Amino acid sequence: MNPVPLYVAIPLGAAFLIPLLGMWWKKSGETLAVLSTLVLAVMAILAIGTPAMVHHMGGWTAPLGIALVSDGLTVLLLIAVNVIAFLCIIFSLKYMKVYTGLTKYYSLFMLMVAGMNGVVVSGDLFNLFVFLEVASIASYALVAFGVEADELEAGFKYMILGSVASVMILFAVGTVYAVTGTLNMADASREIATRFGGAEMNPALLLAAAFFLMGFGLKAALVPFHAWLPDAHPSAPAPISAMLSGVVIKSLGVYAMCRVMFHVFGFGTASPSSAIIANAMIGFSVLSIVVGGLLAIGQWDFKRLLAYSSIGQIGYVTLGIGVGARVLATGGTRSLAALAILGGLFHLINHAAFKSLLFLSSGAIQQATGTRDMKMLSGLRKRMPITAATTNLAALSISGVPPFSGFWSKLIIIVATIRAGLMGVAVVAIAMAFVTLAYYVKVQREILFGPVRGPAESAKEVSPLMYVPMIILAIVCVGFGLLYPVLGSRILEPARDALLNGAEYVKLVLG
Amino acid sequence: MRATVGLILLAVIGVGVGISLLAIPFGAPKTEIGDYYIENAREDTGATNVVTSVVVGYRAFDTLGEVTVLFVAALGLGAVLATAGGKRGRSGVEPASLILSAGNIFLFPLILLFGAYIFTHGHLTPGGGFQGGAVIASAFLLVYLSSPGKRINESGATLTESVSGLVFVAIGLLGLTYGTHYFLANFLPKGTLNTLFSAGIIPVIYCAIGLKVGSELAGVVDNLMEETE
Repeated sequence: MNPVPLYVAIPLGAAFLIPLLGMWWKKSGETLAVLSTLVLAVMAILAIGTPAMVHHMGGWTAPLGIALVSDGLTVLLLIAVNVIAFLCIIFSLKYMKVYTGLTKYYSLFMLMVAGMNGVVVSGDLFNLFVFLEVASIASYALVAFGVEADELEAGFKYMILGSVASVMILFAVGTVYAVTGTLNMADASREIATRFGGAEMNPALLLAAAFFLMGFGLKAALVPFHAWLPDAHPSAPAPISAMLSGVVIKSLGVYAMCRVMFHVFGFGTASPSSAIIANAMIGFSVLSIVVGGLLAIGQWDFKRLLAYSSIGQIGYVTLGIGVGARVLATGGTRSLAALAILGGLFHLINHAAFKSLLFLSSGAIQQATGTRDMKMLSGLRKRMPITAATTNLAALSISGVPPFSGFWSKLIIIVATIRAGLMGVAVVAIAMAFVTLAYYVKVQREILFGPVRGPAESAKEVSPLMYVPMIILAIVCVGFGLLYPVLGSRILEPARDALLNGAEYVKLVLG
Repeated sequence: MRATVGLILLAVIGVGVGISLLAIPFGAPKTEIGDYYIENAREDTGATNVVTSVVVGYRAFDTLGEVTVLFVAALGLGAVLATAGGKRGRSGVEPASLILSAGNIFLFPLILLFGAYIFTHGHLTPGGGFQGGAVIASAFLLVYLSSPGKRINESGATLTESVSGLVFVAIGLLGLTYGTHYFLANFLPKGTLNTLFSAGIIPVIYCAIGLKVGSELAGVVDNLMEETE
C-alpha cells in the first residue's frame, strides 16, 4: 500500500474526529493531536531514502485525475513539517492550558498540518491551491486565537494579504490551464517544453509565472510582500508562531514556488525568460535579507525581533535557490547550480529547526516572566537555565557561528553566489550575516546575561513538557552542523536532485 | 496626486495583463482531457451528470479539500467569534411578521426535502452536495428570520459535520485498502446507469457533503447571529 495519501488523510481524520469526541471527552484534542502528529513524524522519518513514488487518486491516471507525488524534495519538507508539528503539539499541552476552546485549537492545528502536507505531496496545480487555502485559513484563525484586539488585527491583516496572494495564485493556475489545457504539473511542464519550446516563452505563461512569484512570495513573506508577517507571527500563541515561521512560510511559500518554477515552467533549462524570473527571485531575496536584518536590530519585543529575522533568513533560502536557477538559465555549470540549491535547501531545514526553537523559547520566557519586552528582561540564565541554554544554541546557530548548522548553510550559499559571479550580492549576504550575529548578541546580552532583576526575579524554569521539545530542537541544531555528511547524502541531495531533474519528475508522474 | 499615480500604474498594469492574456487562444477547441471526460465519464464512473463525475469521481480529492476549506472557515469563525466575549442571545430584535412565521411552518420541511433531493440525485441531475447543503442551510436561515428566539442545536450540528467529514475520509481509506488500492477509488458496484442506486461511492459522498455543508453553513449563520449586539 502506498502511504502518500495518509499524510493528508491522518491529520484530516483527526481534525474531524476532535470536535466530535470533544463533546464527551475533554482531552480528545490533546490525545488525538499527539497521536496523529507522532504517527506522521515517524512516517516522514521512515520515508528517508525510499524511492520516489506517485499515487493516482481514485485510480485515475495522471492527467485525468489528481496525482500525489513523493520525491526527495517532498520528503525533506514532510520531515520538517511533521516533526516540528509534533514538537509544537507537545509544547502546546502545557502552554495552551491558559486558553479556552482547546478542541477548536487542536482541530485547527491538525487542519493546518493537513493543508501543508497536501501542498507538499500534491502533483496537481489546482489541488495545490486547495490545500494552500486549507493551511492558510487555519493559520489566519490561529493567529487571532487569543482574540485580544491586536491579535484580531494581526489576524485580519494576515487574512486580507493572504487572500490577495491566494487570488494571484488562483489566477496564475487558471492562466496555465487556459494555455496548456491541463492542471497536472508534469503534463503542463511537458506541454510548455514541447509546444512553447521553453526559450521563447508565451507572454501569458510569463504573466502566470510573475503572478506565482508574487503569490508564493507573499506566502513566504519576501520583501516587498512581507508587511503581514511582523504582526502575524508575534501575535499568535508561541507554538503557532513556531509553526508559522518554522514551516508554514516554507511549505506554502518557498516549496510551492520552487516546485512550480522548476517543475512547471522548466527552470532547469537555459532560456532568457527563466533568467528574468531567476533575477527577480534574487532581487527579492537580497531585499529580504537587507530589510529583515536591518529592521530586526531595532526591535525590543522579542517575538517581533524573531519575526523580522524570519524575513531575513527566508531571503537566504530563496537566494540559494534563485542563484541556482540563474546559473541554469544562463547556461552555467550544473554542479554550481546544484551547490547553490543545496545551500538554499540546507538553510531551509536549518531555519525550520532554529527559528521554531527560538519561538518556543520566547513562549517559555513569556509564560515564566509575563513579558516579552527585552528591556524588562535580564539575567534569565540564572533563573531558567534550560531555556537560556537552548535559546543560546539557537541564536549561535542562526547567526552563523561555526560549527553550528547555520554557519554551513550560509557558507554554501555565499560560496555559490561568489562562484556564480554575483560579487555584490555575496558582499551584501556576508555583511548581513554579521548583522544577524549583532542582533542575536543583543538578545543574549539583554535577556540571558546580566543581573537578575525585574520580572526575572520570580521566574522559574518551565515544565518539562515545554522544555523537552526545546531540548530536542537544540540537539537538532547542533546535529545538523556536525552530522552534515550523513544528513547531506540521505536527505538534502535527493531533494536537490529532485528539484534539478525536471525531466525525471515528468517521467515519474506520466510514466 | 497619489490617485493620479495610482490610476496611471493601474492602467499600465491593466494593459500589460491584457496584452499577455491575448496569447491565450480565445474560443479554441476544448482540451483533450475535457473531451475524454465527455466521452468516457458515464462508463468510467456510472454517473450520468458529467460535472459530478469530475467533481466526485476524477477529482474527488479536490472536493475533499474544498469541503475542508469550508470546515476550517466555519471552525475558525467559531474560534474567533465564540471566544470574543460576545453576549449570547438576541434581545431587542423585532418579532417577525405573521406571514413569515406562518410560512416558515410550511416551508421549512419542504426546503429540507428539496435540499435532500438535490444532493441525493447529484449523480443524475444538475446539482450536488454543495448546492443541496446550501439549500438546507437556507431553511435554517428562514427559521432564524421568522423566530428570533430559536437557536440551532449546536451539538447536533457538530455531530453532523464531524460524522459526515469522517465518512468522506473513511470512504477514501476504504478505497485505499479494498480492491484497486487507490485513495478514493470507487470500490462499490456502479449499478445501472440513470438509477438512484448507481455510480458507486459518488452518491454516498454527495450525501455526506450535503449534510456537512448544510450543518456548517447553518453554524456560520448561527455564529454571526450571536454578534448582533
